[in-house]
Amino acid sequence: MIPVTIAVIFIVFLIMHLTPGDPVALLLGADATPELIAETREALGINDPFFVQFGRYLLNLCKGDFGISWYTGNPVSERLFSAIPYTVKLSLGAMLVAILISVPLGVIASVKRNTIADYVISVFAMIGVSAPTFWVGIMLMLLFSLNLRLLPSAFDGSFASYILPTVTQGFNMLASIVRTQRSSMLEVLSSDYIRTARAKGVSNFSATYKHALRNAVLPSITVAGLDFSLLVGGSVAIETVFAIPGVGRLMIDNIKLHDTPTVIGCMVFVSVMVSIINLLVDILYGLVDPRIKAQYLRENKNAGTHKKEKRESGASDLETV
Amino acid sequence: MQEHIKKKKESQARQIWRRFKKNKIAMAALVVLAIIVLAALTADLFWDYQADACDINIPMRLQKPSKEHWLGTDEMGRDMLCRIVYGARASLTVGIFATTFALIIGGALGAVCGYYGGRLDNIIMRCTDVLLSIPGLLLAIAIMSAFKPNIFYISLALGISYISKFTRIVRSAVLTVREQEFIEAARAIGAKDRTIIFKHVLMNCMAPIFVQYALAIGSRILSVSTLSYIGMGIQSPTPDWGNMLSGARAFIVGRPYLVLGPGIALLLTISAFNLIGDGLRDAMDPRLKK
Repeated sequence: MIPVTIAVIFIVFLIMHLTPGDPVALLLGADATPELIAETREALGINDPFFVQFGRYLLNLCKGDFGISWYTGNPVSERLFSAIPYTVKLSLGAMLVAILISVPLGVIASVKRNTIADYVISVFAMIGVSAPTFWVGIMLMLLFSLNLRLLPSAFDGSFASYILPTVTQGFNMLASIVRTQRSSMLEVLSSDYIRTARAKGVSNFSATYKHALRNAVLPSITVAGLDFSLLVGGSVAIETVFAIPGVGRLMIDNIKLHDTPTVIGCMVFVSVMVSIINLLVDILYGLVDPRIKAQYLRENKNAGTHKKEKRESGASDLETV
Repeated sequence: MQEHIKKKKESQARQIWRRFKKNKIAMAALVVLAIIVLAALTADLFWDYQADACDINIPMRLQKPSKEHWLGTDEMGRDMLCRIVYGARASLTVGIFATTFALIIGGALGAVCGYYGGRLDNIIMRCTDVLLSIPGLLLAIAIMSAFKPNIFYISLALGISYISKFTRIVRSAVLTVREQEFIEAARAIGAKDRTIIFKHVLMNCMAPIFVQYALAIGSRILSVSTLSYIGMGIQSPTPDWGNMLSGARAFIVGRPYLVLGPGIALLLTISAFNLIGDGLRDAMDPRLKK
């Protein structure tokens, strides 16, 4: 996770380094004297070679220092920490909404396979993955805030104002989870142990929801975890639509202002968050599936590759960024 | 018996097409996509690009739908229908360019990784891990901050953020083919590595690549509209569904039809690509062969 983060910082640093135009001249405005520009460049350390800047940034980051925003002069960490809660709440809320809606839908689609319910669910999921989140956000806002007046249209941080953005983002994630859940459920339902359970007289309901669901929910968790990076990326658009002052919004605004330290801070946060979620998914795997836990305990060398294969097969089901 | 032999001779592409044709949803998607492409190509017959789609015409602004303007006019007085049709050009161009770029680079990397394996494979795969841990859209945004927002750079940025996906898919496809007998046979008769990779390995893992190609175009169109919506992509006055939506956003209270048009165009195009990708996947699945 740490090497990945360093590599991410490197890439972002490189991109920002390649950005044409003098950020300092932009910051100081048109009436800045050349001497003042040169002085400020020196003070901000922009004149140093690329790798010196990069190394200094990493050292400071180890101390928890994200640098000073060029634009406002405040520490970047301050700006970042005021934005993080919004994005975290939004992303986790969206993930929760997506899982809570799509797992039952996937189960229904698999139990009622090739019926109207199955087709309706697949169309619903297809719209979810194909419609741009920002457009869905606008449409939902139009319907629920402006026409029905049920929910606030302006974001104020209250619970009600989170409903539309989280539902919008969750809707986007729906398709991949529904599909995975449906196909893994179908696989499990036709397996021997479900037949055994039915044979010994377990009710249909219990066989489906207790025996099969527990075994079929694993791939859905993986897909939800893998889609998390998509979700965080998509939050840029959602935060723009609903005017939420989150990390995505902070990043976009500061790219336009050429405030490099803030932009890099946002990217670092996002990549760390994505890595943490992936790690959590791995841990959750062990909790949900005792077979995998046993594999880890045996320190079977195949455990890692086995898990990877599973993840890759889950990921290739539907990949849309 | 005679018929059976004839059937065997049918080329693989024809077999796939035959199975694809049976899939009504995928065929419908193909028809929708054909209409969209046709509209984008023939738009010049009905409108003048500069005068109707780009030039500002304030006296005509925000007109309701009428006989002359079927979908009304936008906040700059331009015909919405005309801009939606021209918007298809930008989206499709970026979608296809970006995906092709990602396919060429990612495919080459993936083929090399899968075929040779070893240390090179390790290094390249770690690099894709890094790229995958940055959300694709944010990477594209960061790249766009360094370049002028024109169609070429947008395609490049969106392509770069998709390379790692293709690398992984091609690599895993190559890995399944690599150990088969016909590759060994090719090696035995002294074929060069390059010939084996391009003629034997890649030709036999086209199915997942094609499927991913169709899905990726849809996803790139989605991304370019998002980029344009937040102002980092195609810039007004060049019509694009994303920047049209961001322009219409301010007028949703009185004129909701302004956000409806470009949104539905996006929805139709992207779902067409997704459905075609799914149809291809089903048609190419050897388990479904009859």
